[in-house]
Amino acid sequence: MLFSSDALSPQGDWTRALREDRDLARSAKSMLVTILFFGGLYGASLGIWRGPLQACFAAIKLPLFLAGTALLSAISIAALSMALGARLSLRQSLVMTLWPLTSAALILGSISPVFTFFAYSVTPPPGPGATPEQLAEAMFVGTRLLSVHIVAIAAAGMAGTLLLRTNLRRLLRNRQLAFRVLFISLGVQLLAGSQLSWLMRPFLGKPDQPVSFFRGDAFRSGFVQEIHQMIADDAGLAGVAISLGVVALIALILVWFAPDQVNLNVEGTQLQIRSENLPVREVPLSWIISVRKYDCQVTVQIRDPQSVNVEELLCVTDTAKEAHELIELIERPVEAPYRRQAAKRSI
Amino acid sequence: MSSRPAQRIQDWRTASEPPKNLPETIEALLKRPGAIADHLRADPRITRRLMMCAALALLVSGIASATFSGGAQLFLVPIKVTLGAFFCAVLCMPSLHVLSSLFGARVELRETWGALWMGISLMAILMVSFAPIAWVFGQATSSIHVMGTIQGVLLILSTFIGLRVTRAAMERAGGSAASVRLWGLLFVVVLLQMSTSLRPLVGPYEGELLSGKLFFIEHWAS
Repeated sequence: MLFSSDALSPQGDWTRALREDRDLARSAKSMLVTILFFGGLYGASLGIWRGPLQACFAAIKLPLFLAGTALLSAISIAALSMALGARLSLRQSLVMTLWPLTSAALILGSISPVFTFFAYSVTPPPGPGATPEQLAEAMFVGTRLLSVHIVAIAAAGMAGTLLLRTNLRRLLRNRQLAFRVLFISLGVQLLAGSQLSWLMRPFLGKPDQPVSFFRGDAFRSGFVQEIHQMIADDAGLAGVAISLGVVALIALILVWFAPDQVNLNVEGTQLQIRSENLPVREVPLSWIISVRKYDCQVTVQIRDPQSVNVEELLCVTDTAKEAHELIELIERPVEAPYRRQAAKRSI
Repeated sequence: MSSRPAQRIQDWRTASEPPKNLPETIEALLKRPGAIADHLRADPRITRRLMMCAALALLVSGIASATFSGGAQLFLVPIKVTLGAFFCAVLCMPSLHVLSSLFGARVELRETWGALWMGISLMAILMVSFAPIAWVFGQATSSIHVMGTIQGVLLILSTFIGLRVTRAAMERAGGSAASVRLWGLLFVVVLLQMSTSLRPLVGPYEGELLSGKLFFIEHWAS
């Protein structure tokens, strides 16, 4: 089953299928199988601390939770992506939704032996007739284990998102649009996933409550309230876990907002854009809406007339003179007052 | 781009003669790890030699560490340390393979297994090289806490240096350095928990093979 990691890699079969919009049904099926298998493994390691029965329940519920999150959010993501201007087919959108969850399931499944070892290495939950002190200690250990699992799930989700990012950039050929689609996709999945995880709890199992497949009070309260309660009860690891998640999200956003560094060249009335790991593309010079220069850096904003999305490109030349020559080349063939004005202002 | 990384890659590429026996494997691991990484897929005997090298080095470093307590620990600690490292490798191998493959490495499972043992073997060799330093400290103190801290620091230092060859081997196969670094943190955490689960490793033998269940943070904090 470890073949799935090859299929998901940037050179893998699923990557090619997503980019070329073919064999997507087969890819989706393989992804679902991967989620079921590796998600099941991780689920078992999540529940094993509470006991074998809880491990079985979690092994069934965790893959269902991952697949359910994908299915619940797929249609919303497809519709929102299209509304944002991404020319993706419905099938591509569906596979795109499954992608980060499959990557996350693979990563989580591969670290499940480590979590099983940890579950057996810490103080186990007490049996029936335990004293309040024993219960309190077990609750303490359980909260810490849950915090570690939250960090692991957040990290695996981030890794999955990073992998999807590479594909989206190649697929949409527009960094800003790819960011918006990814951000929307993450937001929708977070929304659907957090509430679904709340409804499907317990995964780890609280030591003071009997082992059960679903909680009787599943529809009471919600995920956000539980996180708030965890922070109030134990500001230590839960706070660290949430802070780490927030920092990772901010880091991701910062990385994404850095403009694309490319090589630019003018061929007739076309602007040639060469970027690392991407095929060369040409856009009409009339698409340029502004050119800015600072020392050796030239920043060009382009807009596809059929879309509302603006893409920002950054070209770094060896000398300021080369940057000036590049701007002259861009300005020369098409006389557009608004562009000339922008260039003058920046130079 | 600076010339240093390119030079390093060049060194790795030219170092293609495979080691033929255990002493050559140890020498290659220290001086030209590329010679080992190049032949992991083709020659499974190299991985077996690496495992043997790691086992021997761990046994020696275990004995050196147990001289602090003496008695039954001289027999128990080397066995615990060796088995613990093997168990860590088994636990962490799937995550190394999946993370590396997801981030671009084109490797087979046996290559991942070999790359992992390159790191563990180098870690074990470094632990042996640190043994005289630990012994000197052991002669100057009777505190288990001080000795435990010194052994822990040396273990972490050896692990980080050792895992550099694992990272380089995976990078050579097209993998991302960041993913292996991230996995390295997981490996260190597992190693610390293993050292906690297998305790006493530094203190004296008190009639029990293992001292009960404890999370490593609580153990080190106490």
